[in-house]
Amino acid sequence: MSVFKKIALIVAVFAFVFLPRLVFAAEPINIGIIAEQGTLVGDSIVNGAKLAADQINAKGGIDGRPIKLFIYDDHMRATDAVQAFQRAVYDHHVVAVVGSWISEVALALEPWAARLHTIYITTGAADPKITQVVHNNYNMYKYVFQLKYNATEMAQTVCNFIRDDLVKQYGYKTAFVASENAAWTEPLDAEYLKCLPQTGIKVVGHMRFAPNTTDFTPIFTDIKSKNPDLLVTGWAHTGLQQTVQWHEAKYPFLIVGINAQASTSDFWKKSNGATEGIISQAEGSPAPITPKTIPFVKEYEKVFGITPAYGGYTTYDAIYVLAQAIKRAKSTNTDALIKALEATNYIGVMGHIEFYGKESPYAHGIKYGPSYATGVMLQWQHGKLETVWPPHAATAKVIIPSFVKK
Amino acid sequence: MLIPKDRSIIIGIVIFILLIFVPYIFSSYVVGVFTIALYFAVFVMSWDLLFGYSGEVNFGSTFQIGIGAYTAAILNINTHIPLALCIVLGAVAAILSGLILVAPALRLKGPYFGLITLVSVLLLEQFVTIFAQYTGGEIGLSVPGIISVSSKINYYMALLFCAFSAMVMLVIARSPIGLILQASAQDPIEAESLGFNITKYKVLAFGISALFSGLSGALLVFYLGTASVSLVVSIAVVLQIIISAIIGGRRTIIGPILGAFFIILLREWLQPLGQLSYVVVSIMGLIVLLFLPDGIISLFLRKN
Amino acid sequence: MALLEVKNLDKYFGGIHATDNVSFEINKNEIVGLIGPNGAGKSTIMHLLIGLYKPTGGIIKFNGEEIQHLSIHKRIKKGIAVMFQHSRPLSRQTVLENIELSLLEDKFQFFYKKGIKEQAIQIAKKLGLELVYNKRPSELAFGIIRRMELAKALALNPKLLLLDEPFAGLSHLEVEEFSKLIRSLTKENFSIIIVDHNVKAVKDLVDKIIAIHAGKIISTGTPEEVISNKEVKRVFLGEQTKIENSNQKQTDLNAKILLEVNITSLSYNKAQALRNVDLIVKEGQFVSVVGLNGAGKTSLFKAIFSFVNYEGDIKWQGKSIKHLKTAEIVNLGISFVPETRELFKFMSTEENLNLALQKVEKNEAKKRIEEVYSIFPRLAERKKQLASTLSGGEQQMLTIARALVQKPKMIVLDEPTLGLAPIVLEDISKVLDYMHTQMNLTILLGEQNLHFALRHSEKVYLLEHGNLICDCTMEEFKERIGEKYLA
Repeated sequence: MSVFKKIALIVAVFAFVFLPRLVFAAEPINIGIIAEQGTLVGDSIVNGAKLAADQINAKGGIDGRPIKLFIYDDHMRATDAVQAFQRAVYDHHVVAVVGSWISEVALALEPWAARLHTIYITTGAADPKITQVVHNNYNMYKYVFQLKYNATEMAQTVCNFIRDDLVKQYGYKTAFVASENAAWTEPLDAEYLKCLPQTGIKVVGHMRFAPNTTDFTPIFTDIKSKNPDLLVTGWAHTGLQQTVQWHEAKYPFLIVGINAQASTSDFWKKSNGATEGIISQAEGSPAPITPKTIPFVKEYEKVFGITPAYGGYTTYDAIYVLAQAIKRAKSTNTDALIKALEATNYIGVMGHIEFYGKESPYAHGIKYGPSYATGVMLQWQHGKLETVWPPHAATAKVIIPSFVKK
Repeated sequence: MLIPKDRSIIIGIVIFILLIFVPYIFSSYVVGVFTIALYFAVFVMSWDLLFGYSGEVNFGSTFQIGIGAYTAAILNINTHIPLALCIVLGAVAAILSGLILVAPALRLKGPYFGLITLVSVLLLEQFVTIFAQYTGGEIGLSVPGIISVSSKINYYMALLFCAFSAMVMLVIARSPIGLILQASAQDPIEAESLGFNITKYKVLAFGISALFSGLSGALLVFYLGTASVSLVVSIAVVLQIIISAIIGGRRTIIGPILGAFFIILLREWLQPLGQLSYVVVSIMGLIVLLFLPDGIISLFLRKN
Repeated sequence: MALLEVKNLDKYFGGIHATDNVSFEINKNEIVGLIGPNGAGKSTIMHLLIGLYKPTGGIIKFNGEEIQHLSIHKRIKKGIAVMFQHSRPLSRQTVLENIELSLLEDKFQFFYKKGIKEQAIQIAKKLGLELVYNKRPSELAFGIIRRMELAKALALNPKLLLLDEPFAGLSHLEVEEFSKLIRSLTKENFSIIIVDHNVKAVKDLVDKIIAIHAGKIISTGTPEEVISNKEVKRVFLGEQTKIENSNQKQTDLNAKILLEVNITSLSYNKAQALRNVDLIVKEGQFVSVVGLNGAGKTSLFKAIFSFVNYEGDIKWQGKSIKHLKTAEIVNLGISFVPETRELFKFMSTEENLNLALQKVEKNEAKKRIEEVYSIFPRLAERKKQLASTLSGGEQQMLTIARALVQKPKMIVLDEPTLGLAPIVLEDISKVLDYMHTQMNLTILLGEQNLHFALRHSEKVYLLEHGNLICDCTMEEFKERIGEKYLA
């Protein structure tokens, strides 16, 4: 090795060790947000991220470095999301990418997180496949986190609520399961069909409809002919049409399950109040789930004029979780950051957040259970979004709409 | 007459040499955009071969592109055959499906070919939506296999593929086959009265067009790692292909490459405008056409 | 053995019998003219020979082999070549490249064979195209393009060469040169069929003439034999004897001038269709413009109705109508009965008539339709029938009826007798008489059937190659031109 090369090497090492600290001391930490803008949940994701980043920056950022968000719209298309992901990594040098509520999109981004060695936290996609991939091939897919209950857990929440409340209080006996046809509802429906009988409910029918369905009359008529007490749902891409049509024709069954768009005040306006009485699972609600929850919702409503959909709660928490991990890791180095994220132990607005380890089938999903968080069940009552379950967070009791049989 | 032909080849070589340096000048993301433009250029060249030389307007070139892309993607997801084979089988499927569904219309005179291609692409779009569990529906499909993670390798792959396609298509366009195709486009009865079975040549042109469309579609899928209707099937893509060919300069094979780059780079540059960017791209296209009715390439051929 | 044998060839288009039991033979090295007035069915025969149409019945043998079922390119490979009247050569290629195209084999070849250019040059030389090797068709005169087309046909090295109207659209000088060229080919070792409507143009070139009328062969033989044939004379000139039968009505010479045409020039791209045509139609007059196919009659009518641009002026009742739109001209009270009829094929007779009366009040429309039904009782019988199912004569009547319901001052008829049987001609003839004498309509008739035209007209204009040759009354015309014209 020539002298020249030696000097060059020393300079290089020196530069490598010290330059980042010197030069980038006040450099912002870039975080990419990929969301389906124009959808209730997608906008909540963007808003939740903005709110968290603004709050963190107002308090001096992460060790003096402000968070800078790069927001991309994927137009609900996998290809656009992938291009956004590439742009985030190549052009904007993000530390992590957060977002998307569509499981198909999250699944398409997953290999890119692996290929580009960039952390990706989905805060809206529910398919348990996302974390199964991490479990099955941890070394490759360790970059992916799911800061949201997966569909199986969501179904369990719905079942638990039905068992604790509807069966006990009202003695309902039968249910019909009707979900939109999408990746995330496959495990959801499977779990419904498994857990509903365990709660004492008999499933009298099961159907999946196309996400572009607009006329639900034939579907509802068919369901009515089976005479179920409950209609158990898995709706996220859809929701508004069937809510309005159910309300207007006054079908005598109670809708309970997942109506993902219904957890924001905007949905009340859009459905013109037709959502009154529908019960839906969510990651968070304006209820004392944790001490942070109500202040968050108030602040969110103040800034954006509407209450957040579930993506707002999860993404808000995700930014804080990420910020804390960076703080603990004292670095934005990806591997160190993954270690720090895995060690997360944080009380957020949606509950106590910890990630499952790689040995869990839900590796890098959030822990589900009484001591962590179970999600909430919400019901619109007289124009107000009330939390009806779990008991410790409940703000009201279930009200059965007048036209629904009791 | 021979000079402009040679000239367009010189232009092609100059473009190729310039493109070699792209990864050394631009960021990885821009290189990624160029990569997409290269695959798109192959779509446009394939379209130009069929329209410019045999006179058949293919309103459904995304039928071949989409079949190639989705066949390769679905094979990659559901089987264990190697990536390269997936791509080849995708191209084969594009040719076969095209020959079965579309090529019979090449024997008919009149607007039937254009109409059938249009219908075929609408059918494919419906098909993808209906069989969403295999195709990913409107959201799209993610594939496990990719060509490479490195943007440079991806780019040079695309560049070589584009250059190879251009070469093959140029050879065909300037061969006796190209001359016979042009004659049959000009006056089919007269061409047949010179003893040529013109259907044979049109089917060949269609097959070659389908081959490169399908190959490029499959390669694009394994570059991006996803396939979606809006990327490889939608009628909007066909319109972009046609606009690119016209802006670049029809019947030149090299012109379409210029047109493809013009459209893709302009669209990327205008991305901050959101939906408005489509309008602006269209207006820019119109302006180009107004001043250069023979396309951008005529700028370089003018002196003749 | 004959090179080409055609036996009992039949072709129907719907109800029209376009080729009616045609049989003939062409021998090796023989040059034959296939002659007939426009609409006689000669084009159909040519198209049957090359394979553009498949015959309804009959046999075509070439070199002893039946070819009537083969597609075009297969027949070409057997040794038939054709030069079309209207061709669209490769526009972005040179003359030489156009000829090279002909020399290519029907095989997927990625590279040109060596020597193909030299071969093309040789052929081009033979046809006197030396100066235009590297010119493109758009830079060339019509006559040169036709030479190039001939070169392309010759490049196929045919045994039988079909020439479709080789003189159409050419100037006098070009006709002469082209005739010379064809004559020079007679030394070559192949047979030629010249399809033409003009006996005069081909009689010196050919060994034999086959004269066609209404899809049938009416005479075959040496040019002299055919020309002196009575039937041929009747078809081309009309039956002299019948002329006097018509009710002649002489219009007052002082009558008002309705239409005045002064066209200095009208041309399509390179081909000049009309030169210095001056024509006057007076109120109530029956005027004919006669001339062979391609003489410029239709162009003249198109100019009157502003379908084409021209130099010069056309006046209607003293006012220029040059810059008016077609619809405005029709509204002035001129109706057009086009050669191509332009009926709505999938509408009934009555619907076709009603369509012409869109702007007319309902009861009035009804009245007018009843009126034309009284003139054409046959149409009344067929008022619910689709236009496409009417016979040629009935279609022609419907076209005239459609013009009549508009109550025009003047009616312009372009070749109303085209492709019609003699018996139908009588009917049309009566209708024209009625229109002229009873309805007092001014009529401008374009006709190549001299007999038909002479029978009605008070005044005749003869058009030849876009020039007005004669501007005369009936008597003058008969004296000066009538007899000479055919022979």
